[in-house]
Amino acid sequence: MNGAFRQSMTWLHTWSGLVFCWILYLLFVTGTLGYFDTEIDRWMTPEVQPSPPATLAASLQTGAAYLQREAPDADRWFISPAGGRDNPHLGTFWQKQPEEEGAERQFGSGNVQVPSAEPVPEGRATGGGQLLYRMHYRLHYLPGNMGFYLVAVVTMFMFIGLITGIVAHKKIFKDFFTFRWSKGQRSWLDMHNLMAVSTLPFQLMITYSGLLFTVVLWMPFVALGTYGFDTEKLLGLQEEVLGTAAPERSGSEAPLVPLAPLAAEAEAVWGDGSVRSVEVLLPGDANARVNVQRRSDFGFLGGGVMIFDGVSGELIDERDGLPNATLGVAGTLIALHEGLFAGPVLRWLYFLAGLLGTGMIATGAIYWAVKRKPKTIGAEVGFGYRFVEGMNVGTIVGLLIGVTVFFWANRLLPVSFEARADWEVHCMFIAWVLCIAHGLLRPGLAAWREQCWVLAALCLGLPVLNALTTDQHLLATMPAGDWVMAGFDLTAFGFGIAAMLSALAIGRRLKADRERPTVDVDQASALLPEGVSAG
Amino acid sequence: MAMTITILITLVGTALLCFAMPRHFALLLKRSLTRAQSHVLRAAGFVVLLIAAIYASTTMGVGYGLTAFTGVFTVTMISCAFLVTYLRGGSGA
Repeated sequence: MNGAFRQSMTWLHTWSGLVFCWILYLLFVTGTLGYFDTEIDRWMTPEVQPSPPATLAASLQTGAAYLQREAPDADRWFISPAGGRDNPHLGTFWQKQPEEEGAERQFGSGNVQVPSAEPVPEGRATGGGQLLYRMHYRLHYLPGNMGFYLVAVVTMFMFIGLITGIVAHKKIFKDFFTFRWSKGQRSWLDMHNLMAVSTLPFQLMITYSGLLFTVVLWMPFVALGTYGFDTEKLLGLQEEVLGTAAPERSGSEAPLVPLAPLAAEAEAVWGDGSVRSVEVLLPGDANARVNVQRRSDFGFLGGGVMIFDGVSGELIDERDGLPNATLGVAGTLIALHEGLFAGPVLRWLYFLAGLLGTGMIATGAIYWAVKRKPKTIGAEVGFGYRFVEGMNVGTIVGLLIGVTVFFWANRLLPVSFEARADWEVHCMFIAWVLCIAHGLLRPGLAAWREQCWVLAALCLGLPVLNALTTDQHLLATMPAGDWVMAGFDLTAFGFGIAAMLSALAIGRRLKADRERPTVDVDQASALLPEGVSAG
Repeated sequence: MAMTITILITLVGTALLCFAMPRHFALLLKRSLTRAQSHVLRAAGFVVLLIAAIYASTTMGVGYGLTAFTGVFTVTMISCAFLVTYLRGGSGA
């Protein structure tokens, strides 16, 4: 391959990586945690237990009764029976037209108890795992869709970084197993390469599918060419593409057909436990429709639907699988990205791959700084180097401290405090900003060691704090086989041990540096022949 | 069970690829690796990995199995790399 081309790719890889590495690190940390979003939700609301199992018929009957009471005039109901990892409760959602023209549509949702149709008692107010999950594609504090747009741009640069990284690589097979320990910058580069090469399929999949989420942003003229600038039409794009366009309201009332027999009809075709959710369009209207949706590995794009008349219960249409190859490709990639289909082992593999991706970004940023570190004592340290070094420690360790503080805040903020959900996340960002300030003010390795100790203390203290503030501690959850709660505490403990070992290793390195005889740059220059510099 | 077997087969394949590296081979078997041996080990490694992928996709379904295999391959690869570094005693040979 042309040397100049490879060199230019290396340049692009280095600088696009450096400019976006800290925000990419945020996206990877929160995205990786997002693979355990419902488990984190559960830990952050210890008062709320998962609902006991209920039959599909009872769930649909209860959901319809609840929505009939709460939102009888809605355009759309959505009932999602409890079951599996993602639905600890019977979930309901409704949507209706705005009361005034030009206003936004109204939405509502709620978890419901079967068979009483009463809301599930709410736990403490918290952003939970969903806040971290949302942060990886919307960021936080930014108005409107700005966070989404920014993430789209950063994702594109991540993709550029991956492609240029592959091109810049000379010996990809050799890097499969090469890690040279304790070799300074060479070790950091080895670590970066090893993490990148070992997770390359995951990185390519996660980044490319991430771009697919923002495809309308990157290629707006495809949709605009078809729909023009009519936003109402654009809102119906997905329904039209999926072939589930909403019916027109007739204006005359008619009772809604019982939902349970329709779901049973679908289960008779698809098999037991195959109904994921039931959507009712225009409930109470003569043109009502009921879409019984099949459980699918393809996430929101759906794997099949049976469309019934909402008054007579007659089967109108039936579709199994994705409607066309384009949606098949998109659905596969998006399903791979979200990993909703993953069982416990595969979910942990996703989590580990995410961690390695996070490590890849971190080691890349560290390598940039280590490579440019002044080699002599007393040599002038540039602002750029100092800034990157401070940001590295303040983000690579500091963000983890921030996330752990988020969990601490969940247990320490008073349950009755109205704005506690907001303050949980404020605490996270305050901790992160303080860590960045600390990283910029303290010398390199000392800052790393101190922040690693703080992280270790916070992570190791988290199971203890949980034991002191709730009755769902490890001594209770492990014997009970509650591996969601226990798994969270044990994972925090594992991260604490890793942070402690890192702090000890950095401490040894600092001690070795202090004991090593050093030569000041001015003294060295004085010993050298005239015209030769030590710096 | 299918996942456990997939992990074991993938581990064998990854170890064979690891052995195909001259320095790793010398470290683990205390003798140098010939070019022919390297080719054979590498080919055997890829064949075993292919078997692991086929096994995973037939027992867990094509989509799920291949996704699981990729994840397992990532973790076994990085484990082998760190394990060999550990066996070297951090000498960075």
